Amino acid sequence: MPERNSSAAAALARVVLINEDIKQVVRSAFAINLMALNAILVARRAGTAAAGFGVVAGEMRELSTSLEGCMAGLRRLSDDLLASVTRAMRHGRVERILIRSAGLGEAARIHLDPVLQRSGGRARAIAREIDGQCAHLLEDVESAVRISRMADSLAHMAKIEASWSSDRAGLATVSDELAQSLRGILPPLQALSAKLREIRQ
Amino acid sequence: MKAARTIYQNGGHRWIVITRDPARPDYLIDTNEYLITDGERSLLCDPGGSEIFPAVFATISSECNPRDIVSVFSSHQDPDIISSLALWLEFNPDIRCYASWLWTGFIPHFGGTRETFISIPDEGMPIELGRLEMDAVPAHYLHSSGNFHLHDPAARILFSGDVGAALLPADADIFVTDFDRHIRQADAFHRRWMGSNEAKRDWCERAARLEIDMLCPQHGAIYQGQDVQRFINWFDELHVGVVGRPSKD
Ligand SMILES: [Fe+2]
Ligand SMILES: [Fe+2]
Repeated sequence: MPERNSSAAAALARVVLINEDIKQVVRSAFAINLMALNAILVARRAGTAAAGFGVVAGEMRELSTSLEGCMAGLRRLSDDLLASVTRAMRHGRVERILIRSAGLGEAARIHLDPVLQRSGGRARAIAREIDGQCAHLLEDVESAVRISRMADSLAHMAKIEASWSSDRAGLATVSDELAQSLRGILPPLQALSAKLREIRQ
Repeated sequence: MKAARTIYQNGGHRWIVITRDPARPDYLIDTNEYLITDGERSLLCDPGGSEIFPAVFATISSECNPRDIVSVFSSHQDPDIISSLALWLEFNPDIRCYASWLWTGFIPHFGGTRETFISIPDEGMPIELGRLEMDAVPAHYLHSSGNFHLHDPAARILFSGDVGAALLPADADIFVTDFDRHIRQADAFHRRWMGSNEAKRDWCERAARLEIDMLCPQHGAIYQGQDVQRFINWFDELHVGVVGRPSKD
């Protein structure tokens, strides 16, 4: 049983790190949203020659909005995961004390055996719940990865569009900044799914 | 394991004290738990902290059937009093907990739900156990702001929570044998922990009117016979609510 609780404690530590990863992605998505808005305005000022760039920037802005929505969903799920992991820790503590009590004498053991069986069943139910939450979170992380890959391709397209426009230098700077911010998204998402897989093990 | 001693018995009506755990780590304050039984129904007074639950549970199991415990009485909200509640409820979710209305929103942080608690109003209330009729006696501000003692008129016993407490060595006698020597070990505790001289005066008057053969504190030793009145008189004279200052009296 100590293993069960130390694994709950390790899961709690991971959930804390997962929340940090989520915050990092949210910050990047917010920055990309603003940059894309700025890119739309720059393209408008550059006139018809930058129309293509403007369309790509608009798409980019939509993607960053859906990424923000996706991350808000992840945040809610990770709050639920935190609640379950905390419950597992609390339950583990109660279970450890009950086991200690049952070890103190035959009479205590007889009275506590059915309680421990019930308690073990509940611990397994909590573990299943945590596993389900991790699976759900992993699906959402996959969606976030897909969105950020699409945003990556858009950043490439923005670069190409920038090279065709008349305000080449200005648009190139904007598209470089976008690509730079996008690079901040994938690593925390990957770290996040690694931690979720560790919790599931 | 702790020691269990029957301190009162009349047919199926019994008081058992669970006390003096030689295996208790010294960073935990020592506590006494009292099990009141009438036939097949029991009430546990101040069931204790979660860390000592194994010792309390095993001792009770060796003495009687813990399934008979239908309720617990929580004199106040302290962790050494009631932090084991979640464990008792894990064992039997139907156990009910009597506690001051003041604490019924706080004690659930240790365990229990709305259904678990029976609120005691400030003026106290009768508490039934089988055929026994006992009383929750107000002892507010001694030391908790919502605090009760439990009087069993048939057994003439008052469970007095932290009032009467003394911090004694693990091999100390369960009963007070030399009042003057004992009370020196209770002095600093009462000056520091009891917060109100006015509340103390009220309690002393109330306690003096009750028929008490044994005064049973949650820490230390049990006062019996003449020592009960001696304790009430001593407490009445004591100046409490003091930090670090030498006493005036
Ligand atoms: Fe207390
Ligand atoms: Fe106490």
